[in-house]
Amino acid sequence: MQALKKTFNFLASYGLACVLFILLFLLTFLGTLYQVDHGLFAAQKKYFESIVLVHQAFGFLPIPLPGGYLVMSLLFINLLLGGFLRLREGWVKMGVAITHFGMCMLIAGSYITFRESFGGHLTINEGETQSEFVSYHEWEVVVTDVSRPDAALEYLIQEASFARFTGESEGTFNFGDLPFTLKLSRFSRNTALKKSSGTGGPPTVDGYYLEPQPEERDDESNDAGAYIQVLPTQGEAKPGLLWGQARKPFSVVLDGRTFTFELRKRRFPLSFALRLDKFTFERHPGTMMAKVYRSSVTKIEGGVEEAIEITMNEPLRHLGYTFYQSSYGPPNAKPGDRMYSVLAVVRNPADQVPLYSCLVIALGMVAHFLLALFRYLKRETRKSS
Amino acid sequence: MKTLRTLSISILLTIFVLTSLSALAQDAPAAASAPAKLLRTQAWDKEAVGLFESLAIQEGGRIKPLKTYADVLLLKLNGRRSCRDAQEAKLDGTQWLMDCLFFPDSARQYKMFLIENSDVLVDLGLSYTKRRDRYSYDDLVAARTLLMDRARTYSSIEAPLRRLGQTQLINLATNMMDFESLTHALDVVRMRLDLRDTGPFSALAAGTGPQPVSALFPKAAEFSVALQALRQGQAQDPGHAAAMRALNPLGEAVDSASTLSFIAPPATDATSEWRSLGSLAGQLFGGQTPPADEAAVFSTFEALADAAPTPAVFTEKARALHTALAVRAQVRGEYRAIGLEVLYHKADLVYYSLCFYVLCFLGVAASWVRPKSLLLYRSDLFLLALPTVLLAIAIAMRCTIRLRPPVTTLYETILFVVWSAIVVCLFIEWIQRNKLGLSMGAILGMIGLFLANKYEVMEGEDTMPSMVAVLNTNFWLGTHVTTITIGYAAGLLAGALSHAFVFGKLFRVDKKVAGYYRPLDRVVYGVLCFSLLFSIVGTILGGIWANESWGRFWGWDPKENGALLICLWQLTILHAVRGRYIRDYGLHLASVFGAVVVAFSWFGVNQLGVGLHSYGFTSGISKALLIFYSIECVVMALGVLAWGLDRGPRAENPTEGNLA
Repeated sequence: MQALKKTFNFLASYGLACVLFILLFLLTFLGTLYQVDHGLFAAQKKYFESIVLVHQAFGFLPIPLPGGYLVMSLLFINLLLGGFLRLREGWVKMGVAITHFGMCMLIAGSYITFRESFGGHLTINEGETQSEFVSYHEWEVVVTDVSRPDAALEYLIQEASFARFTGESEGTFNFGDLPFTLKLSRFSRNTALKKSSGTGGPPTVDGYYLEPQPEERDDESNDAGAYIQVLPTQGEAKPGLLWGQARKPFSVVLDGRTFTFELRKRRFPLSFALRLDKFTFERHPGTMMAKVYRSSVTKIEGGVEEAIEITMNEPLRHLGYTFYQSSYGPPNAKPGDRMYSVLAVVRNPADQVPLYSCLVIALGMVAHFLLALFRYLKRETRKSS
Repeated sequence: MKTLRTLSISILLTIFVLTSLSALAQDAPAAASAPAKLLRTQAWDKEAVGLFESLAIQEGGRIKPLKTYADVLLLKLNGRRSCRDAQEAKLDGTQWLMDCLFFPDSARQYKMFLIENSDVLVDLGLSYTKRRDRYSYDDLVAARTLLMDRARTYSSIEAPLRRLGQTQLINLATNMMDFESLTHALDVVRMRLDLRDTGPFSALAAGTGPQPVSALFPKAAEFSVALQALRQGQAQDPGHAAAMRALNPLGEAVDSASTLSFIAPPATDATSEWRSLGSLAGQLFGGQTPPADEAAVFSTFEALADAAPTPAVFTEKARALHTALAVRAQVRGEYRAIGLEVLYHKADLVYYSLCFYVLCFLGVAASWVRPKSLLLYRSDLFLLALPTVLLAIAIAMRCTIRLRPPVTTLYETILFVVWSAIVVCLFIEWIQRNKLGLSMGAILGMIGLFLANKYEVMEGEDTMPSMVAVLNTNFWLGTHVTTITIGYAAGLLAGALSHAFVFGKLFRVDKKVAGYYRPLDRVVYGVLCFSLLFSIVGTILGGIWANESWGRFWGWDPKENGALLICLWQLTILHAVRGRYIRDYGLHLASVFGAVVVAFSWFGVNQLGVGLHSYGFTSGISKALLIFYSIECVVMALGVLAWGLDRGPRAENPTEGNLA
């Protein structure tokens, strides 16, 4: 019992809070500077979404540090227990307790966002209708039996299932009703397609091979690649290359049926569709500075159409998805050209948690500080009188 | 009807064709004689200046008074909003601009190109007397070709790799071009075209001789046909060379006259783009006659240019022009804030606030010498409150002009930070009445507004610019930006107050009286709490805004991280005080470091040049920031030194039972 109490006191202590704040301060500072040379995606992975990391101070001195994930998890526990401790101190500390619970809400919301949210972009031409969006980062392998009348039937393997098959390690995938097995290997998030010079080196397919490249600062610029082998139930294995930038998919004919294999950014189907009626881009008169981006869309759901405007700061929220005005094109469009709009799509179950957390935190802090100030003023007045 | 953009392209093409043709016209004789110099001989009439400063123009995407444009341009060239003419008489921005427009030869003599470093002149092979000095256009024009060549060369070097002198030379080249385009902006209304014996254009000639450009407007269709004939003709055709001599200056004048857009389109017009004199005259090249009312404005400008040497007539014409232009803008509802903006610049409340803060500082210094003088104390309070009210009025005027919340640009953050910090200082003084808030308010007001002025000069741009699309929301600007800025202000104020502790300890101020340090501890703790409240709420509001515009609450963007750093550092301090890990020295040293964190978050992250907050990127303040960081490090080191020297018993937890 004593040990339990000690552990509780340690986890709820001011000392632990200070250490965690300083560690998070350090991680935030280092992660910010790291972005300048390595980009946001890499900084986020290394400093904020990690358990532990090694920071290279001055480029040569390795310093092990706990990652943001670990620090924030401990901070959550510290805040929660600290909040309960303050509750025990009576109504005077009620504001602090409320603030602590508000912060816990915020961190819990961030955790839900980190684990559960996903998103991508929906790029849509004027006059076009779309009912799926594409991931910015995740890849997937899609197998399609194009000889079937309903070629839309696709078999999918998500990146999480094959990301570990880098180098020589291979993963085997079966699809119950398909007459073959797939083997994937040498997956890399960034590759270049090269023509074989002849001897040695990685295996080639039709005189080409995939060479892994260092990942780009901007993750969207990476072109993933993998080696594939189609192993029919009977007959010879058919090797191929899957590459994110391939102009046409790798295809195999088996028993008179044609199958295509493609590595592409993951797609998410929607239960409704959006049609872009018009994209408006206004500049401040006489300048090149953007004033307004606006997508006039029609939401089509169950045969019912609804006109909606999506602009910066005014997204469309529907069925848990949020659609934001993100980009547009073509870049040098002239008046009258057909425009396209890029809508960022996010599904985040904790979308509104920060708002509620903010209200709770503000309430707690205002209550606490005002109370403290009034008590102080009262004391001063008593002293002077 | 062609759009203005298409029209301007056609003008450029026409000018290009004409220029090419003129190169072929080998037999074209040189210009007959140099035109008479346009020199001002009398001072500007006050009424005329008043009319000009409140003329509305469209520039940088917004409607503003000519005074704003003139002041900002002169500030960029000269480092201040005024200059001296050849007779050493002082000119404000509008008078200088009027000289550039109507008496360009006078303006070329004014020493208003500020060259910070004489190395630029050495680079151009020009002589100099002082390292930092001002030069006239006439002083520099001999090296113009070399200047432009050098500027082109230096521009090809990546900005971070350029030497300071190279950047200054590029700026000088830009400033010279801006000045040149201004001095030629009214050439199109000054010029007279003699189209006699100009081949296809002869039919457009006025019987008696040269004619103003506006006389050609009714004959735009014939002008276009003649232009076509000129294009298709040969250099040897009769009148070809004469036509080229007449039309080339017109093309150049049309181009230069596009600098200033004075003419609001009709209220019914779909476009919101205002017209310049160049765009009106340019319609000739497309064979179009400008609408009668716009042509009339053009003619008024011609009459005005003619009347420039006669002040009485000039003022009368200026009155007519002002009425015509103002009515056009009023019909569109675009003249709403012109008067107020002129008043804002003329009242110069920010400058007067700075003067009062300096006076207040002197008063406070005097009151330390005569601590018991109630009169001095009260006048100091007045001298702190008055400029704070003036600053509030200035901020309110800016809000009314722009119909925006108080903080939308980095310049406005400085004004608002200073104002908020001083309001907190007044509150501290109201509670404690020990001159702490008074002294700190005077110092912060003085330093803050001095820096605001420096920042404005360094940027040399309109401080009320158009907003990028993502900032086009008053709700989030009013909540997130205002809140976080108050957080910055209080964080900096806490750091500044802790300086009083460090220097007090170092110089043994008030050592034997307990009434100096304990209240200071409490005030710093209280201000940190205040700052934390606004920083945390402001940071989370920023996240909620990001969730509304970019689709994520938190993206570890440098600006977001900067705000988080402030929150984390202040949380560390407050928890360390509560846990008694730090006492008075620790609190104040950490609070001084907090000011460094605020500066990094406010300006430092903008220097990194990465992230989504690209509208806030700045350059050119790295040196100032480094100086600030260094000074604060020295202050912290001095604090540690004082700590070592202070061998007295440790103060009790400064905040226990009081504010925490």
